Amino acid sequence: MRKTYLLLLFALFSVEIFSHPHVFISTELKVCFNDQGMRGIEVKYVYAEMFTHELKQMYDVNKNEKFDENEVRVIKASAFSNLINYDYFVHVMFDNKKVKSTDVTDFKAYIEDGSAVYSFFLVNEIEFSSVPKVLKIAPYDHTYFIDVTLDEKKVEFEENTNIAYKFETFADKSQSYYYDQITPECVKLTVNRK
Amino acid sequence: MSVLLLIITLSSFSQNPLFSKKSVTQDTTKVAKTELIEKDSKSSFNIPIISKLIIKNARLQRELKSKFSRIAKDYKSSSSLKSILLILFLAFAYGVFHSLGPGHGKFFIFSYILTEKPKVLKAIGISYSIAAVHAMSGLLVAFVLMYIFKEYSTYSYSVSSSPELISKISFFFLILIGAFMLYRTLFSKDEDADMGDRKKIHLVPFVLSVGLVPCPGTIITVVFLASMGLTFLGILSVFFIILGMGLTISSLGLVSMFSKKLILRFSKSSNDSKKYAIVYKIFGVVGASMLLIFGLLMFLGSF
Repeated sequence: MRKTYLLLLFALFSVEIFSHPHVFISTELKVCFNDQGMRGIEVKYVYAEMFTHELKQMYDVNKNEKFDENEVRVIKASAFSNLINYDYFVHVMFDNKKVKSTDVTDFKAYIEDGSAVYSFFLVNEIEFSSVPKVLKIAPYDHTYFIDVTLDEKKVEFEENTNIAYKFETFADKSQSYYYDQITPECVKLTVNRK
Repeated sequence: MSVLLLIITLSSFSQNPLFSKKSVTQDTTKVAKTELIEKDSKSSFNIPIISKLIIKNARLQRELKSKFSRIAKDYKSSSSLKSILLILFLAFAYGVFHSLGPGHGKFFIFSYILTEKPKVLKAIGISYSIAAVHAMSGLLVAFVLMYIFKEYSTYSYSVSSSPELISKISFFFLILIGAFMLYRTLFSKDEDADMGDRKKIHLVPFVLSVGLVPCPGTIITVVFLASMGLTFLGILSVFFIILGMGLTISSLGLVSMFSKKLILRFSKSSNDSKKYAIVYKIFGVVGASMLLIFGLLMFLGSF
């Protein structure tokens, strides 16, 4: 009996040595400028096949192979809104300061070429000066349950004639996560107002 | 058992950031708010080669899963033996590479081998037990989830458990296991370093504590195949995932076992039994300390 309780105790508080990652997302970004600086980022998550299948199982209630308005509402409430606690997997730093945004707009969920897609606009209002400063945008899940990767070929810009920028991508060690062992690919922009 | 199953199911689902109901700290209907926060200076312990290996491994798993789903869809239309064999091989390969990544008790088996003196078959047995418990609990959860999906056509399942609290308690237990093993190694009354008569630690609680967390990879695989009407193939895949995981864990365990034996043989060959005993004790202390420190780092890192 004592052994049973011991087993149960260990089982109840079993070590969460779970192997990661389990879900895979490819991220597309569009950085949107305005006259003052940046107004936000259009984000698109493209899920891999297996998790697409799981999302369809859970949310495509009428099994029509697409997410209808009601289904999108449910997805937003139960399989997206919690990402506010994870910075929506988009980590923004400006002039070495973390930029925390709390609002997303235009959330959509749909199936495209067999993959489930989330798209939304992440509001990040940052004012630039005439002095060039570094803006970094890195998509990742710091828990590494989800492998969130940047699709470097799909980084776009909504340009503005008032804003000058230089663009490159690099592995940002300063944002290493998951016990410091994973380095995210990062969009690095050197930006200034003209 | 049903309470245990419920807790396992809740804890597995609460791990995914998309679903886990951490308390939502901000009202998202408020006007957009952008804060600039001074970043704490953070010293990084990043080891580039480990980082590259973890990322490469993740990409490989993604590829394997992608091939797996394509072949499963092919099988649904063609029902060919070749497709079945490919699916099972991919499941095996997925098990191998998935358990190379962080987790799956490799650290535990390494520490156990350093502190105890298991025979080869026992080390392999423990490795496969961890893999089996981990994958089978995933299979169990998959069936529970499929029952929920079947019975409730709309998904309104919400998890209120706090994964952070469970993690903290789990890491604390890892500290206790490491401390217990260190205590036994340091204060064992046996003079004989071979510890032939020392009471062996009961492995079942340790195997369960390391392996009981359901493997989300297994859950996703089984739910995916079952939803295509391939439940039996899903169950069979789990056994091949176990074979793959067990191969990785036991291989690493055997490497540490043979390395330890080699070093001990050198110290024994000097005919100095005291030196042998010291070396043996050092192995035990190092193994137990590593587990203790690992647990401490994970526990402190969880705050």
